[in-house]
Amino acid sequence: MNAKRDRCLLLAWLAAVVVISQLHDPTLLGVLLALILAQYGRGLPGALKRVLVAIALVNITVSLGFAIHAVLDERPWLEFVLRLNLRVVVLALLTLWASQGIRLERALDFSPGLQFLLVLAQGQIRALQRLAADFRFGFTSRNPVPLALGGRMRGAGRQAAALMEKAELHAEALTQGMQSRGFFDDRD
Amino acid sequence: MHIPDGLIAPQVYLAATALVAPVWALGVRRLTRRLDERLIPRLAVLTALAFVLSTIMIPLPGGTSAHLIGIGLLVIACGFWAAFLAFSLMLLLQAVVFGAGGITTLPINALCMGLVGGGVIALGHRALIGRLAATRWSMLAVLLPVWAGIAVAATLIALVLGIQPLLGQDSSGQALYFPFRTGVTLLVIVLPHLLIGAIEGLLSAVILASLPTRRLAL
Repeated sequence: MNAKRDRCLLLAWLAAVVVISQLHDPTLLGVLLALILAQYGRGLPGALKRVLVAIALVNITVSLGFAIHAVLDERPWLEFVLRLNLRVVVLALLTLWASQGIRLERALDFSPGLQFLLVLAQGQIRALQRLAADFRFGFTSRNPVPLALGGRMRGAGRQAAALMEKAELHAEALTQGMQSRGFFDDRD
Repeated sequence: MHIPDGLIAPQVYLAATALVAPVWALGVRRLTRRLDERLIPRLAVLTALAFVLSTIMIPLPGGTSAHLIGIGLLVIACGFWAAFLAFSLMLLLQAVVFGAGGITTLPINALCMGLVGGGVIALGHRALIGRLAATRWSMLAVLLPVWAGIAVAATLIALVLGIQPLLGQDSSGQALYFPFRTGVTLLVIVLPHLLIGAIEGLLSAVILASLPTRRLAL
């Protein structure tokens, strides 16, 4: 039942993305934004912060570039800037809602292999993220004075090499763990 | 590349999906035919690796930085098909689970960076490694293909963005999606990526030379 709900939500979200990306009326997009903002309730400040951080660089660059260009050419710019930003914010908030509300691995329960792959990948992302964070903290604490370009390059290189080594070990350990628990026997 | 949803016209991302979907199916078929029980754990770890590699910042001259793309490392260390599938899965997880990427740009990034960029890297590496492996120029067998793959991928993405003004305009002639044409996008996207590609190529060569084994290959 839950899997069906997740699958329906996933499909509804994908359909909504396609439909909204074809809406161009700023008023309509504004109404949609107000509806989505209302759905977030108490979580709104956190959601807005996350979305704005994710889209700010591209949106500000494109909007400012377009506005300056249009002013110099004596062309209107406000409608475009409004349309673009409203649509991007609506879609980003909708995607954030989807990422919080839909359990992708449950929605894909028709394929146990794919489901398992996603669960494992998410677990491994957390493990490797922790390693990368430890590496960064260690690097920062050992270098109180910012290093020159070469030193920072070597740091980034060693971090990536450590991650690749760890990933190899994780892959082997995972395979053995799955073998020992009979995961592959069940699939035969 | 970080293109939010809403900047790309539906006809472009739907066409990109139609183009890349059969290649995903082909990749899965090729890997499952060759592989046994090691496939799922290894692909999962590769996906995680692709995700975390893309969070590593590489320094650029002038005190700024960009993040590693990681496709070069994955292709050369793990093989093209595994890298392409892991990279695509990473994009899916970024968009759907972590809410950190556009879903409409997923097929475009998979097509430009994973398929074409990864393909250029795989072919370039294969062409050069035989000639340069035993020489002091062996690092070039990694550096040049990675640089070329990233440059080609950036050019394709710049072209995709640059054609958006042609795909939709309102009654006053204003663009409905991304507003700048190829003259601007090629300059703004490709030029920095020539430098990013060179640094990532160099970094990939150093990392691969320092790795004692390459068991992740599928």
